[in-house]
Amino acid sequence: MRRGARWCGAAIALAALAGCGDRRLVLDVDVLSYIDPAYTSATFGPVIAVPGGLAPGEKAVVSNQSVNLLEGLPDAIQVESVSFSLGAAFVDSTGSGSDTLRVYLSGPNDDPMSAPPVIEQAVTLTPGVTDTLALNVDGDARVRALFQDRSMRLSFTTSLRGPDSGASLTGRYALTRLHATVIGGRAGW
Amino acid sequence: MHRLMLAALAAAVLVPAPLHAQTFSARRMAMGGVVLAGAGSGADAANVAYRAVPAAGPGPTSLSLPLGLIPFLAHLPTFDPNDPRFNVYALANDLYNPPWNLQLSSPHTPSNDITVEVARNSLAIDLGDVASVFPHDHSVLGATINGPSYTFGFRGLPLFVGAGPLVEYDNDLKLDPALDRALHGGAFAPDTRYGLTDRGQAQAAAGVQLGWAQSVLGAGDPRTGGSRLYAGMRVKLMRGLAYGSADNALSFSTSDTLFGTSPIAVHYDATLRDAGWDGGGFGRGLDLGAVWVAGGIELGLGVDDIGTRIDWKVRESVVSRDSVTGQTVQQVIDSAAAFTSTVPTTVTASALVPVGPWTLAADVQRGVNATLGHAGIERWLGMWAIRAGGNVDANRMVQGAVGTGVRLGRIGLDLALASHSRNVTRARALELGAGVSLYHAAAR
Repeated sequence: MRRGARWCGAAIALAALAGCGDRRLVLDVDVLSYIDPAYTSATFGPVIAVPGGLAPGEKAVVSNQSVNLLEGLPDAIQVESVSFSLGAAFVDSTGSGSDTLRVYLSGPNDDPMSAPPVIEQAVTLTPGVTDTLALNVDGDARVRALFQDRSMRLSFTTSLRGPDSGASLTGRYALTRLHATVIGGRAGW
Repeated sequence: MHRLMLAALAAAVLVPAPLHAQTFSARRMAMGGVVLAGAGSGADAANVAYRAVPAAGPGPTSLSLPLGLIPFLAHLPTFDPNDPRFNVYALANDLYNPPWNLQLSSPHTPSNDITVEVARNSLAIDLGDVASVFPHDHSVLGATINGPSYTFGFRGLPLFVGAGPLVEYDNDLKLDPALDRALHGGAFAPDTRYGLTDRGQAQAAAGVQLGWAQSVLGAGDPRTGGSRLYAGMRVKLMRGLAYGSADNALSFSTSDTLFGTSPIAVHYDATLRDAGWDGGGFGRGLDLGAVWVAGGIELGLGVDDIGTRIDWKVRESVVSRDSVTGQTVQQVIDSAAAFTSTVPTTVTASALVPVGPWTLAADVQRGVNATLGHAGIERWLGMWAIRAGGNVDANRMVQGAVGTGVRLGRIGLDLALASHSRNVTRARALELGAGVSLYHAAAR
């Protein structure tokens, strides 16, 4: 009867979560919604001009944020691919420079910044210009494994570098989109 | 459990009148699946009194042809989940609808991806076609299959003895209103409990039948102007072969934030009972029937499985989900618990009325989880028969059927075309049935 019960459970999971053959479960996670809106936009600078550009270092905008996913997902699907789409806007008011955005993910019991970032994107800042960033990246095996768990942790950092000369770098940024799209197939049923 | 399912499947293929499975008689199928009175196919099983009713004519012995086995065997399904061709919807459809008749239009199987959108306070599931698997109330299936039985009468006595199997299975899946809404286009809401229950049972037994059927009232030959009331009784004494049941309850509750500080906790509890040959005990049941025949008109009422019960020594277990580890844990609480299963009673009311050259037949059956109605007509034009009918099936859908028959001496061929909804998505499909009839008299 144990097999019978498993059959019933599999049938329900089948109907509820995924299809057969090439059909897939598409899990679209709005990661941005887990981040306090107070941290999704901020001003930066002033970063004064020095030769070579002043780099204050990597600063965590969002640190160790918990992202809870669907419980039971690991039993139902095998994550086959994960891709991220990130959208951001940078308004450079004065000065030139650059920034590097990094998004870190980890398992529920680890520090996100203990592993390489899943997204790393450099942005060039030009005075008076608003840059819109739209980025799509694919996650590797480590990231796929993270989405196989019931929750994860997230950190989001910026690394500004100021101008060589001229006006100090000032401006603001807004994170407009951070989605993870997980494609899963059946997990052994 | 697999053996039990295979047994149920095999029985469904073999017997002539399961309650809401396929119709394994092309003549019945063309007439909407009606229980054919006048000693026709399916009559004895549904109404034991028909054992005593004289046949309306040289009723044929019919053999259903398994046209559907040809494409099935040519493209055998895979049971390996890792095979890209694995399609559990198609497998479920084969279980709902064994590949005996030829399916002219295959029921649509869900083919879309399923999309789940998760945000901190939002969860939406787009099941696409899969949503059609879940009806808005219950998803029920079930049948009681008495037979095939091999019976022998005694010359001059209204008694008979026989032997045969009994297979019964039923399942009832129910979503609570909140989950029903969420799976049919709605979104999951905070502070809400979602749940589903699934209760299933399957059992098989075999044994002997002791019966009596005779005319109890009236006079003359009811086929030639007389009028008679026939009654019948069949006692079934059985030995349980296999039993399995599962009562499952799955639920989860959302907090004020869907995906807040803690993951959603899923609760799963089940009570399981199972027994094999070793756990089978004594079973008993009773069938009663009555038929009134006068001037070609027949009215029948058959009640099968009155108080049918089977004793078992079952292994009883409880299954629950550990909220910490998330693992499902099964615990056997009694390896030989005394348990008595019941077989649902089936009631069949049937009527047959000749109207000029036409024969009209109809029945209503109340069986496992469903009430079905069938009606059909037949007319012979020389060596040709034309038939039509319809029924209200277990999914409460109206289905239609047409067919024809030809008789060449003692041999006849019947064809039937019928619609049905025996598939997981309850979509309408079309099937072709065929049969060979061996007539007991040379001329009609």
